[in-house]
Amino acid sequence: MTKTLSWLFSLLAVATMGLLLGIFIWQSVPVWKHEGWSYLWEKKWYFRQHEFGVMSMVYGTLIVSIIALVLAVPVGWGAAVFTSEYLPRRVRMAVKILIELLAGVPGVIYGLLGILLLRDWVYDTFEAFEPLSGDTLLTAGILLAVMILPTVVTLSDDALRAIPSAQRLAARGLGLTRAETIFSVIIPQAARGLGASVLLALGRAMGETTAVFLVVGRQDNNLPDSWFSLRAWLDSGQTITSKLVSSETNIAYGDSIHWGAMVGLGLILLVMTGAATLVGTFFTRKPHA
Amino acid sequence: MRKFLDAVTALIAFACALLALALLGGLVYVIVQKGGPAISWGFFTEQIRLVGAAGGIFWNLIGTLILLLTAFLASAPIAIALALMERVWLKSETSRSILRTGLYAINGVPSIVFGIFGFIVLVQWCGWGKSWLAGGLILAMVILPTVTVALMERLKAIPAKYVEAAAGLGLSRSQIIWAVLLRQSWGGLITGSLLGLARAAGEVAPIMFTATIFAGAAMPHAIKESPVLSLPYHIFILAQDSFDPGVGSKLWGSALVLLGLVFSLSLAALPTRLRIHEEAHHG
Amino acid sequence: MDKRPNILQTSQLSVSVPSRTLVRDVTVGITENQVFGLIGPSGAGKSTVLRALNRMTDLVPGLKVTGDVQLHGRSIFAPGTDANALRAKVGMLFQQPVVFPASIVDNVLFGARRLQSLSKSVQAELAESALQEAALWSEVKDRLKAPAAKLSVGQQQRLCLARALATKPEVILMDEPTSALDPRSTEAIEALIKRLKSRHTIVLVTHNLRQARNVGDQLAFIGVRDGVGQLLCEGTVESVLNRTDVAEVDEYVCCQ
Repeated sequence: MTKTLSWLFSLLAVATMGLLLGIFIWQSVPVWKHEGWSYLWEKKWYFRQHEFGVMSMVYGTLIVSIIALVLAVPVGWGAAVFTSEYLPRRVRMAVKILIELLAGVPGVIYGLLGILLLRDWVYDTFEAFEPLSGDTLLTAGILLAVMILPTVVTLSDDALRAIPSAQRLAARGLGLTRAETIFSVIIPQAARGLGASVLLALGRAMGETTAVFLVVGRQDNNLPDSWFSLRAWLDSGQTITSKLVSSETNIAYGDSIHWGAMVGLGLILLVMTGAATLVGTFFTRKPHA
Repeated sequence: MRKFLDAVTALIAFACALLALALLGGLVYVIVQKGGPAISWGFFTEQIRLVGAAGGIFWNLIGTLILLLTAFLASAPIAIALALMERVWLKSETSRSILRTGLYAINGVPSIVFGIFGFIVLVQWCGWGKSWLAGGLILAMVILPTVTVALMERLKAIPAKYVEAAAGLGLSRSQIIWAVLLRQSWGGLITGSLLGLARAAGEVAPIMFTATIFAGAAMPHAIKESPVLSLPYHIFILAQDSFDPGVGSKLWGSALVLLGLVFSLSLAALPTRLRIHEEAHHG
Repeated sequence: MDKRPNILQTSQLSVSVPSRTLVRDVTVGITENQVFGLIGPSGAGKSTVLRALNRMTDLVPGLKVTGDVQLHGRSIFAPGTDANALRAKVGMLFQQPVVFPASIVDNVLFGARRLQSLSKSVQAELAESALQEAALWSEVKDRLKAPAAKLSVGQQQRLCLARALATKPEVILMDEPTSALDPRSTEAIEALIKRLKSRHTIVLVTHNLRQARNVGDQLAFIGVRDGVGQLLCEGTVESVLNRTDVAEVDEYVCCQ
């Protein structure tokens, strides 16, 4: 009885996840048929004309995530080194609890703070570059950086703490300073875990929806000539998630091509976050285990 | 030189940690300072009036609690089943490892993807329209990995001697599961659920197409076409709209209540988590 | 009697944690180029005393050290003392060999290369001489770049010794260095200890009376009295082991 129920409920979970994946593939078929590969490569999103290309949204998602990583990873690693290598165990637990609370703050609250504080700050600080508004890719990136910071800290701290303390003692016994021990003994051995923290944080950043929606500007078809243009960071943009959560989702249902284009975005997002998460999870495992 | 580098490293690391904590402190400070004035008894007991500019958030709070309770009730049996699969029924290490990887993968799925999935299957195909049950079920999917992993860790921590002792008494496999494994690990289920619900409480993306509307709903009496109000969606809508001072103070008040709810749920999970941690250290 | 000066001298050395005193008022002098053994029951604080000698005790939060330790007549706790430089001069070998996940030669030079800048050729010479001194050279000279973790546990312990020797220590603290080793490796380490004392001073914590008799010159017995670890007697090996008037020593010796 217990065994049957376990199997039954587990299969239900597996079937649901299979259904989810199946639906996202199947329901996006019309747009693939309609657009072919240009759905992936082109920057055009005019739903009244039935023209769909996701490039500017993939660009937006990648750029805000990269900005977030560039800002959050150094700070997160630094903070993790502090909690793991400098704090006594009890204090470390307390600090980790506080940082995990920070991780739990809902995206909509970050978004609200972004609207109140960050938007104007970005607009004023980068006035010289004449942004049209404070709702920019950069604003979303900075906000995301704050949101993923706790993820980076927690995972990196776990990775650093996993190195046996005998290694620390042996290095200190040779006369190495704490900093030398950290850089030559601890960090090289924790490298995989530190890398995993970046990938898992990337997965979170790409999938974060509400906060990004509120500050990114939601401007369709904004793709700069060069992917490396920094000025473009100060333009409004659109990410995959900000498009998916917009009211277009309600409009699109019923028009199979438009709906396919929306679901297709979900599928692309699923592939991007899935890759980051799975590679990151794989990285956290021991090389030989 | 070596001493200098040592000091600089310590200083930079300290500054990074301080920055992370200052962000938390600053965030809480801003929300409390702006939202505090809106908090009153009436704020919790009245319904919204004038598009959020007056009244309170009674039905938003009730709606969010209904969604959370549903998510808890729907995810618990599945989590127990999956955790038992991993700890008891699956024999090969490969299939266990696939199950765990699958859970991590689900945990990485963006919540908006679940939201769209619920919109297609429950709202459209099942014809429920916006429904509290649809929202609750989708939130259950969001929190399922958190609950399951917490339960699995708790199960793993149960010493083999208890299982052996129970088997020695002649208990059957499923009797052992109920009398030993689940009895000793329900704390893991609660901890995981609290952590999951802390995350679910603030989510907008999974419920905005499936369960929640901005105004005009109270207690749902059916499944079909029975939306609820909710706290995060309330904030989400008001944040995009006017900054009419009246709305503003109610908006920040709602944010403060939501933050309080989320923090209470995470902190309630803390004692069990710390105990597991201590045991892992000393046991 | 020996007229050589004491290289290490502790006076009234006590170590405590907030709740209790671990070891109290240890006053011993350690003569240069000798093997000084610390024996006594587990938990009496031998390792703690040993770790105070190069201030490894600093690294444990909450541990409080009072009294003094002098190296060449200068207090190691004096303000301005560089604890890291001290640990290079007073090296340490642990119970379990701890090799870093790097090649054999990188392990040998791990500390030395960071304490001072060395040219490539000097590094090679230093690695060779340290490995020679630790009696490991002939076994590893053909695979210096191989991962250190591939060595046997006994070889790893000698590698750790070579690593400590490469920083040119005057004193080497050894905390039960053979307790994780098989008899043959133990023998090798003991032979090494006897050789090393011509150029180094060795402080050895051991559980093993045979080892103490085999390699020790002087001995100190640290036992528990009134719930606190303290120095109960010291002197030459035989004089300490024959102190049947000290009940704790008597019990320890006969029960081995």
